Amino acid sequence: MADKADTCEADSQWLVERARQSLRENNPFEAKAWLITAKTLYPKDFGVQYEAYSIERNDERVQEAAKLFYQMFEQFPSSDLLWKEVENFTNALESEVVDKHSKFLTVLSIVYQFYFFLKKIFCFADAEMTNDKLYNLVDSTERTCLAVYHNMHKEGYFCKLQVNLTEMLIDAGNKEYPSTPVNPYRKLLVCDVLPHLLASNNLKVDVTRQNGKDRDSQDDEDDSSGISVFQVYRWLKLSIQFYVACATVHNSVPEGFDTSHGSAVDNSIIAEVLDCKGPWVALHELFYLVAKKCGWIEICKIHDRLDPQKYRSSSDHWSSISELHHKLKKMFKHNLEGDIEKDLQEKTGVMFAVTILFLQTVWEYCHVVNRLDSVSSSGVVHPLVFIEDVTEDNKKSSEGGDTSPAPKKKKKKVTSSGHGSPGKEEGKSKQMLHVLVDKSCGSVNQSISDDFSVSVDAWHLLNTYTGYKTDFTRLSGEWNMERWTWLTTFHIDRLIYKGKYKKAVDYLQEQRYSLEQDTLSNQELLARGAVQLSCCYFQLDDNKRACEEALYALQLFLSRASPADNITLKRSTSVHQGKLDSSETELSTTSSLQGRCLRLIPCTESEVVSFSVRLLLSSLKQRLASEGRNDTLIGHLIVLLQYDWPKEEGTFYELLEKIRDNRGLKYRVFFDYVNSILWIRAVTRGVNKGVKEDFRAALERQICRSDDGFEPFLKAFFQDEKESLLS
Amino acid sequence: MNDFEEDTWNIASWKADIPGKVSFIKHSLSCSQFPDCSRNVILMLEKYFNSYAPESPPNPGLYLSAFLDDVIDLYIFHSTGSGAKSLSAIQGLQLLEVICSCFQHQKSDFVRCGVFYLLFGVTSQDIKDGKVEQKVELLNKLVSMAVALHCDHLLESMAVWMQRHHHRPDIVLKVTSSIIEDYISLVPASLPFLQNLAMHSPLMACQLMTGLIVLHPIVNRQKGQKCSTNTILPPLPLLKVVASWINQTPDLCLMTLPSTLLTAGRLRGSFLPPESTPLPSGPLLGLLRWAVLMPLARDFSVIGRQAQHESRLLCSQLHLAIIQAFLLASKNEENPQEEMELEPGEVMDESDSRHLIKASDLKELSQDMIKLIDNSRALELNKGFIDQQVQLSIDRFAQTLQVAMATSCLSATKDELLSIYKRLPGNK
Repeated sequence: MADKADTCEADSQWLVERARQSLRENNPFEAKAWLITAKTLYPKDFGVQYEAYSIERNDERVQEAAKLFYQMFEQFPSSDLLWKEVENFTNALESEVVDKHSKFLTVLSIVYQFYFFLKKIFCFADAEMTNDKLYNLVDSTERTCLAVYHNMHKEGYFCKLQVNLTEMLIDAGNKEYPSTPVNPYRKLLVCDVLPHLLASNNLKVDVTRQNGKDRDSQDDEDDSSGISVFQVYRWLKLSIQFYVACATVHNSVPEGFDTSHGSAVDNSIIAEVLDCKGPWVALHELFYLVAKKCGWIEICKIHDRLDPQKYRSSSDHWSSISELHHKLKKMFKHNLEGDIEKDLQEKTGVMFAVTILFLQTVWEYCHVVNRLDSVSSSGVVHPLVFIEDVTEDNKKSSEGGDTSPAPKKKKKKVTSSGHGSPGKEEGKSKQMLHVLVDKSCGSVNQSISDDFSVSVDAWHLLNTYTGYKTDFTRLSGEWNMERWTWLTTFHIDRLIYKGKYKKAVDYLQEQRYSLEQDTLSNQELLARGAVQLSCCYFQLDDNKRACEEALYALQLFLSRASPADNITLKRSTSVHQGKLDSSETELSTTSSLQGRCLRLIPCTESEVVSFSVRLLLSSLKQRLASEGRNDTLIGHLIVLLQYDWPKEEGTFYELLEKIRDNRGLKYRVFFDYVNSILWIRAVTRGVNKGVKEDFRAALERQICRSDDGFEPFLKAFFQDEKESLLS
Repeated sequence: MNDFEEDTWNIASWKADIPGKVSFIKHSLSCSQFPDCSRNVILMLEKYFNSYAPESPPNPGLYLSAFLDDVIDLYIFHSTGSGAKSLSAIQGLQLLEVICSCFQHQKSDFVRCGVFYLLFGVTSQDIKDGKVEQKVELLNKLVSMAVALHCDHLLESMAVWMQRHHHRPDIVLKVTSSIIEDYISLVPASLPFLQNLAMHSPLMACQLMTGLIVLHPIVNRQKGQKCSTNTILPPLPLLKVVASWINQTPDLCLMTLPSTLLTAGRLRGSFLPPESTPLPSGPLLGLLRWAVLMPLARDFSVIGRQAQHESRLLCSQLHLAIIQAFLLASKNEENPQEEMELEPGEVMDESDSRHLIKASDLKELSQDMIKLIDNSRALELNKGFIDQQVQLSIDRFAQTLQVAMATSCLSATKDELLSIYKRLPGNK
């Protein structure tokens, strides 16, 4: 063929001329054949391709024309002719004259824009997405698009295409990834298509049509009033599921907490979501778009207060929502003649808002408590354990008068009021609930106690209020929520928080059963379960079992004494020492609040020791009070009192009093476990009030000095005296 | 049905006492009423095939084949020789309905094709016994009906049947021409049914085209064969049907059949001895011949400008579709994963795309062109008109050549092409 550019030009021009000639002879087929030939000869010739495009355009074949136009735009982006054509498109879009030609141009331009739109999306999503796939997508949409032309306003077109696209993406996702919410199709749908679509002014949601109860059936009717509100709900549900899955699977979770979201999760998708705005912010933005589209006026009013980017506390979010909830409830009650459908919709909005808040807070809580994001250098991660304090006065708050209810380790009181949904819970638990995050939890953000109480309240509302219950139950069924293993912690802690100890015991035993399949790798979790069981039994007045569980938990640690633990032990011990003075003030504030004391502590050996000591002290004291003279019990108590000296000084003197009354103490292991000479002297000789101060100072010195040495004694004591302690 | 019966009707499970079971089946069949017995035979065969994987189709032994042949003869073909009463016209229709519905309800491709082949496959034994006639006769009726009723499953099996008999053009062409006769000559008003065929069964359309281009070769190459000019050229309505088929889906001419379907079901006796020239494996080349040679052929049925323009339009349509098919073939070559987009059961044979056209094909075609050109020049009609037609033909030929080369669908050396060029009259 010709080498020179101008002959090339001439040849291609000749071929174009032949095509025109064929057109004049009313033979478009021949013309197209000429142009295809020309294109294979001169693939870079603009004139040839433009001619082919013109033929299709003048023939009003939208699909073909748009495809060719799109190809040309990729190949010759700077051509004046093309830009002129774009101008024509715009004019056609703006013109009010609906003649046949402008109508066609409108359609053409929309289909063409859609190509670009898809291309943009697919470039982001998938490099393998070829042009052919793109065309196939448009192929199927365009047919519908043409069919509905007469009913729709022209700009509505583009939306209709996108709505169709959502259907295709949902179908494709369901087909290829039936059990994995995080998949490329869902990502396209949630992150790329829906934000566009919901933000578009042209998308009309028909909020009036509520009668159709077929909630999950897609709305395929091509009617001019827009898409059904249930379609939007469906999108929202899919988006929530997607973002929650993204948020909850990305951590490298320790054994025993399998992700349960299927194995074929595309990490790159999750990484992309996390790198962007993060799942919760993105979800909130989408939720707001939905709220606007669905006409949830009240939600829109408070949306600012729900924005996770504003860093308000979750209890603040909760109070906004629950305020709205009660407002709507009241409106519903008093305003029966009003727009009930409107209210129903608002209610759905609140239901979604509560659900989202619940998922967010419960995840925050669970992943902190399970330490899902921290990996310690030793490879051992201590989860946090939620306990109810096991001092006697805590259990029977009416009795305790003289002793301080707070245990030795001081904790900061973070939350108490504000989140309590007004007028809802009074009957059930009149006591005020404080969830305290122990300082020994280290860097744990104090706000998790907030997250916890909010998630408990939200869960409660979703599962009790009839207006939400059905919807929420269906949602959790759709999402397989009962298979989210990380939620187990929340359920147990929630039951303890609510004082439903029996149920908690059932839960814990079930959990233990599954954890015992692999005792070695689940030690931390088994220990935590045991501590919580112990708590529950204590509250249920089953002291024996409570002690059993506590000692079982200790045993788990003893069986695996690693050096890393000793480090933790020392560190936390020194923290205790330092805390004694500084938290003296907090002690008073805490103790002044009458009620149950719920705490989060790290599930380390030293914390469990301290817990067990407190538990045994309470339980042995109770036994002593009910059983009368029992020298072994007194001896055990004296041994235990050494641990926290001088915390329960009063108890010690009471015991001395008792020994004096009994004129002696028979305790066979006395010298094994009472390690201070001064103590021995005090116990054997009795103490008179005069030397009390000196004695106390000496003891303190002694204990401080031998602090490192006392815990091994105590551990041995627990091990050797187990039988006797539990008897 | 009780357990024993259930077992017996499944031939694949027969292990012992085969003669007893055979006579049991024969007896139960002879007891049942007319359409039921035919249906039972087909259902029994379906059950038989269903017990096998497509990779290892059943291979009945001599005794079993003889039994199957017997019952098929008796209850499907109702051969008078085997003692059955011949069917009345209504009963004949009932039989067709039974067969159609059985095939429509069978979900497995493999079972359908296997049973179909077992029923209608032609063996050398059939020729010896003179049974070909009755088989083809029933097939004709069946396919005619299937086209009208859009029985896509049955048509698909028929397409496989045609492909499997492509070494015996005489038999395939009989069926092909009978369909065309039914729809084009006998009842021209039913043409739209035929036009829709490509949508319901693209495979069948592809096979039909393959038959049609042999029926209407435009230029006769076999000296011995005598064709009247009426049949040597494709009639206009037929051209219309074919053009509309491949214009909608140009890849229609690229279709091939999956091999598992082509080997489903063996027959008793030897394969048919092949005839001298088998049918071409696909319609592409034949269609190209039509598009290129039609302008040169003197078609006496096309009289008047209107008809001429229509004929030219149709041929242009054909030609465009062929070029598009080349583009498609090369595209499939580039993205092998695109194969997935095809209908299940249709596999694009990508390795073939380089050999869609061979130099020898083009040589033959160019020879025919010259022959026709010489013929028309010798008749000394309107010289201007002839020149115009020659130009048109050469344009089409050259365009095809160019696109085929550009899409690498042509396997030919430069020399081969040059020699072809030289023989043709000059053009740009």
